Amino acid sequence: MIEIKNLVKTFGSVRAVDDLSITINSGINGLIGENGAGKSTLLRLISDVYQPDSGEIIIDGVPNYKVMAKKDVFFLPDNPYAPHNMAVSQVFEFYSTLFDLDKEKFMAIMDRLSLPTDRKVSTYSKGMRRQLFIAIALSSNAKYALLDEAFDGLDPLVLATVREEIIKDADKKVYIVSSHNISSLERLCDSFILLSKGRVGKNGDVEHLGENFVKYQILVKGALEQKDLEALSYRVLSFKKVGSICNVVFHDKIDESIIRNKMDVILLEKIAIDPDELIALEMLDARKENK
Amino acid sequence: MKRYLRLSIIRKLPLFVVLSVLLLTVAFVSASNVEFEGSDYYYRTVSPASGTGGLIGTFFMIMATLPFFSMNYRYSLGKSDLYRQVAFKEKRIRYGEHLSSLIIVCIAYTIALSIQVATLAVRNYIIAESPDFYLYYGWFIPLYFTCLVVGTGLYFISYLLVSRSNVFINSLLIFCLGYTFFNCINYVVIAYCTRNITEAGFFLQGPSAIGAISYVAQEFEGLICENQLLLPMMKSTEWQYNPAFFACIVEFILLAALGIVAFIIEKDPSSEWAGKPDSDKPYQEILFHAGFGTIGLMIGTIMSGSVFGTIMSLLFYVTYAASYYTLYGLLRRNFKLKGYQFGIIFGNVGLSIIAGFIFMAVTGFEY
Repeated sequence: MIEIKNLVKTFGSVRAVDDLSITINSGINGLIGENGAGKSTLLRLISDVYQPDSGEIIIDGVPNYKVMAKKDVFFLPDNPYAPHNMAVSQVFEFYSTLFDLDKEKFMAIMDRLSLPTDRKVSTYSKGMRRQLFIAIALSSNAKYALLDEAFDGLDPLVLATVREEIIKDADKKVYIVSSHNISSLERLCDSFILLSKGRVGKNGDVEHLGENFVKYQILVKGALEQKDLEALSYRVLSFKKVGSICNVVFHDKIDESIIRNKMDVILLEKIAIDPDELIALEMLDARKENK
Repeated sequence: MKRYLRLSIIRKLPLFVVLSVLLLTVAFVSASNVEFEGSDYYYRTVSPASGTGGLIGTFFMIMATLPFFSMNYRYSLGKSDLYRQVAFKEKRIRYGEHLSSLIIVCIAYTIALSIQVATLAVRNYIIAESPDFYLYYGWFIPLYFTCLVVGTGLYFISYLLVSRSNVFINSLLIFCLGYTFFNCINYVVIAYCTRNITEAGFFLQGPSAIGAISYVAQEFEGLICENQLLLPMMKSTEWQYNPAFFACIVEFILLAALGIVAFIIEKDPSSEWAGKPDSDKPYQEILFHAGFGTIGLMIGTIMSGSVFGTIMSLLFYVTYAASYYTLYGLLRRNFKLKGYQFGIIFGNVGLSIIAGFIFMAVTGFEY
């Protein structure tokens, strides 16, 4: 269990992590948020790469800066370091000297990803490099694996394979996977932590993500403006016009009959929200609440 | 600690190979080019050589620049992400990185010196057909240990400068700024003793903190060759003949001690500063203004000497001032100086000139 209590980290005048408290128990946790929300900083704080200004991080009852706790954490940054001119197998050996890695598992994952281990890392493409480091992270015997934007730039086939490998491993390990792209975390995470301006905007099971939002397609005679809907005491999170139809996302459920009675409605239809939009809405909501 | 040290040495094996090849080449080439044929007494004074100078110089230069190779984990966020998360205490990482560098260079130096001595002995025996006649091989043992001690001292002097920044290029600039300043301190001592920059030997006698290279090389060259006619040369290592030597030794010991203390007690900056500049701005300012202070002291000290010397020395001061300004500007990526900085420079130089002048007038030391 990772317990984070009143964590604060500032860079100059910017509060990257602002009095953040959360407990991460098990499973695959998606860490989501817009650019600059504090995702990478939080992961670096957990792995003791950064030291907090105040607050504490306790890993299984031990402060995270203690060697005992650090042994249990493997952090994969968005731009991991590979020594120059090393073959892939040598990179693995190099990482093995620093971390407790399972070679058999690494080779199996590399095989699944069809990555050659005898080539030099410098000859790998950006995506292949990313896959290599994901394979290293997955082969780590650490109890907690922190993956920072690890899925960016992966093709759908590789993403599916990586997803399978992580899920296979989830009963033995706790994953915290950060991304600003919700589609890469879709069907992977059990729970999510939404960060906004260094704070936890929302967290919980993935099923609860966006449960407060409803999206409608509305067409009325005459013009419809956002303020018309807000005048009905609805909280409008997003209002977009596509031709003469308006796509509106409301915070909390609405009473359709009120809209029908007050306006000359031609079309009022509830539609699904896609995952990417959902996370964007959650971020928007968190940002508004922060204000 | 042992585990991290072992890992660090394994990781630095390519560096070890490169340095070994470099040192071995210098050792072998210099030992192969020593002249033994000049058997008459006079000839040996003209070309007295054990060929150790090249190897000592190369070893010291490597030691002085080696801290750059031990600070990798501070120069980029990628490396910092890796090294800071490893389950070792922060100090162990630092100690491991630096000690591993020192160990591999010392091993390479030991091998190179052994090869050099062996090559010298073989050539000495074959060519001169009189082993141990010209060269006293017993002196190679104290030479070896002296070089290790002085080399380690140089390493920590450089560490003191290099560790002021988390950006490689800034470390390099502070390194240059620092050695320029340390060099200047010695000239103040010579200026105090000679009062004349035009005097022969002014520049030769006042090497910087890394003057250890020439002093150690000269001293041991004489001892190994045991050539009494080397005495004029050896005078440079006797402080009563060359106060700059004494100043150099004192300066060297103080700076090396300061470097070691900094190494032991200082904490590395938090890794959010990895690869980012300006974590140690005060040191840059201090070095910059201290540099101008020493220039002022030199001017003041020599002003009480000859007029010609004073005029000549101005060129020398301008060169130093330009060096300080250029390095400082490059360091800040901005050559503009603020009003208060001009005030500090002029005030600093002015007061230093007066201080130097008064000091000379009161003490009236004559070299």
